[in-house]
Amino acid sequence: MVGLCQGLHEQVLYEHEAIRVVHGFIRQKIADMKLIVCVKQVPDVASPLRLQEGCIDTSAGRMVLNAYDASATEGAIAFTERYGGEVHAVLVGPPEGRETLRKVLAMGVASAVHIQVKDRAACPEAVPNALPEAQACAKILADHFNKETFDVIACGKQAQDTDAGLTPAMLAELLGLPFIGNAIALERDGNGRSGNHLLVTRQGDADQEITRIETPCVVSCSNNMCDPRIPNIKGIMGARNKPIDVKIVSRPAGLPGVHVQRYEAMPGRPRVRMLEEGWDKAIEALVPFVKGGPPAI
Amino acid sequence: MARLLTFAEIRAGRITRLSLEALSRCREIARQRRGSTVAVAIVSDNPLAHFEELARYGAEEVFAVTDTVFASATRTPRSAPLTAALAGVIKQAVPDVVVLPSEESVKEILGALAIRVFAPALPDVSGFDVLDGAVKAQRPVFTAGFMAHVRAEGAPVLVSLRAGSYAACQNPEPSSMRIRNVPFAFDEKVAGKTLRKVVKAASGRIDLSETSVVVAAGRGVRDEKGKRLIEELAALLGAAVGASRGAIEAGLFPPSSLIGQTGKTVSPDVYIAVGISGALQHVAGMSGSRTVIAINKDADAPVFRHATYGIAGDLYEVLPAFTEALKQKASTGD
Ligand SMILES: Cc1cc2nc3c(=O)[nH]c(=O)nc-3n(C[C@H](O)[C@H](O)[C@H](O)COP(=O)(O)OP(=O)(O)OC[C@H]3O[C@@H](n4cnc5c(N)ncnc54)[C@H](O)[C@@H]3O)c2cc1C
Repeated sequence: MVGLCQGLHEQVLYEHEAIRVVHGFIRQKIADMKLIVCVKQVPDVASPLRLQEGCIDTSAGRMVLNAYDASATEGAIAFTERYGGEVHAVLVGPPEGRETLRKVLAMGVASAVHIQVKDRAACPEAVPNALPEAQACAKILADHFNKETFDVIACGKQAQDTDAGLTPAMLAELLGLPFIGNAIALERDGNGRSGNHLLVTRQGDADQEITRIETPCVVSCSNNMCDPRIPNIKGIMGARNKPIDVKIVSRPAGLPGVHVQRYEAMPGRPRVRMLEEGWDKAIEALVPFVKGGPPAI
Repeated sequence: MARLLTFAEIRAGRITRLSLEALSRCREIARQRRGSTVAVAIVSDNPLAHFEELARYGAEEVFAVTDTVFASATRTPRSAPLTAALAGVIKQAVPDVVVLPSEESVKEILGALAIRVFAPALPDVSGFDVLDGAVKAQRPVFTAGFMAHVRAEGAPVLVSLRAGSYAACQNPEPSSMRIRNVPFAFDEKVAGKTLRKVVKAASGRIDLSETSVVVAAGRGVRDEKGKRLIEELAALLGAAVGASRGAIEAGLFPPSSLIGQTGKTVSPDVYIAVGISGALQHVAGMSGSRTVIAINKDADAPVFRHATYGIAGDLYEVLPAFTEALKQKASTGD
């Protein structure tokens, strides 16, 4: 199991483990895979973000690699460390996004493509208004990947700013490739005849599904897949010499429109009432549920 | 006037509560917008089994896709056939708005569906309204740090709805429904995927989005004894048990009980957070709860900023006494 996060997998993985042994055995015979991760630069949600006339002012905060993309990157690197192969990265975003590409290069990605969109919206503070919306982003990425060769595209399952999670499935659909969302483990399935499959474990609503998927394919990754490594000095130094290819593209036109009209503060809660022993208020709030109780399911 | 279509998701043989919440919200909108209609898409190996329930919740028209590929034990993962089925229903029903429950099964396909039917998508909304030729919605964004007011134009607009945003209400009288069978053929070979194994979560657990009360455990619950205390309180309340990432990492609770930005979003009447620090990513999944009771031994824990009532104390001491006090109070009947 690649980069397994403690506790986040259902317990019954012994059968799955057996498959792993097979990998080691036939590893020599199957060709290395090329994985490409799609990463986004987002405002650090823990940094001071303020509302200004319906826009989110990110100038006081810092921009970071989206945490889910960091897990996708880690998952992809760990995959190649285990089975061989290479990892590359693609970022759609403004010139400042270069810093985020440096970060994934320092983690161990071999090369990067930085896709910059012409005529981005005027008000850069209005994140994420300044960035292309999911369909536009998926279209830009699909145009890019249509000219690329790869085995696996790994995305984070959502971005921490828009929290939408649409782009990965859109991209797969545009490319006509099979897709699995919310993956928590990536393995190579070395089933003799055709070694070009992955085994992807996905967290569903109730169960975990282990699916064999052919390549090329697209997967979106949960942060429960793995904890991203912190780049070391060697990685950071090495990243300076790794290529970042800049491409300038136009904003795709004629796509279905979604518009952010404004941002507001989340509806707040009155100040907490700390309760003393006896906890009367809390008990009172709960009593109705003890008596009636919702229907047993 | 608007043609509203919802999707009734089935899990463990039942229509999910969130689907019924979406259907109820659509009926409410239809009442306000004269001449509107509410249809439901249902995708199953045996949709018939659910018609009666849909009628009780006021569906006027049902678009049924019937295929064994949707049976519970199949080798085809559900996402590709589900996308095809819903695209087929949308083509036949020609809705203005499609409202889907924001569950993992829908999150996995919403993007693909939007591309396939060339529609704008508003994912994971906590509220929405239908206008002429457009949908207005509210979406928590930035790890539920801000609320985005969004608008999408077109027909259809796809919307996925967060759990607990609206109440699920039955009709006083079951509606009379027109049933439409939607033709469907799916070639399993084109999916490019086969299901190897489904690792089931422990059975008999109450679904997180199905109950009015959620008891959630954090890393402060550190052993089987603590877990028992959580389960005792939950049993008394008929509540579902949720968990933070801290508690799941400790191996005490199943991954499907994760609540938060990565896990599930819940908005129950009462949320009881026990031994949870209140990290942004956790709060993102429970901030819509109506009443929040937090129990934490650290009186400065961030979770208290998101709570209605706070109890500063060691959960191993508080919980037994709290559960007992609640039992007492409930049985004396005042
Ligand atoms: C991209 C991303 C997504 C994430 N998604 C999620 C998510 O969906 N859900 C989620 O939960 N987390 C998520 N996290 C992790 C999150 O940031 C926190 O790390 C996590 O929520 C912490 O869990 P916790 O509160 O149980 O543990 P801790 O932060 O360790 O808190 C434990 C708390 O228990 C209290 N405590 C200890 N002992 C006792 C006792 N005896 N009695 C009473 N109180 C006690 C302590 O005072 C402390 O406040 C995500 C993180 C990232 C980066």
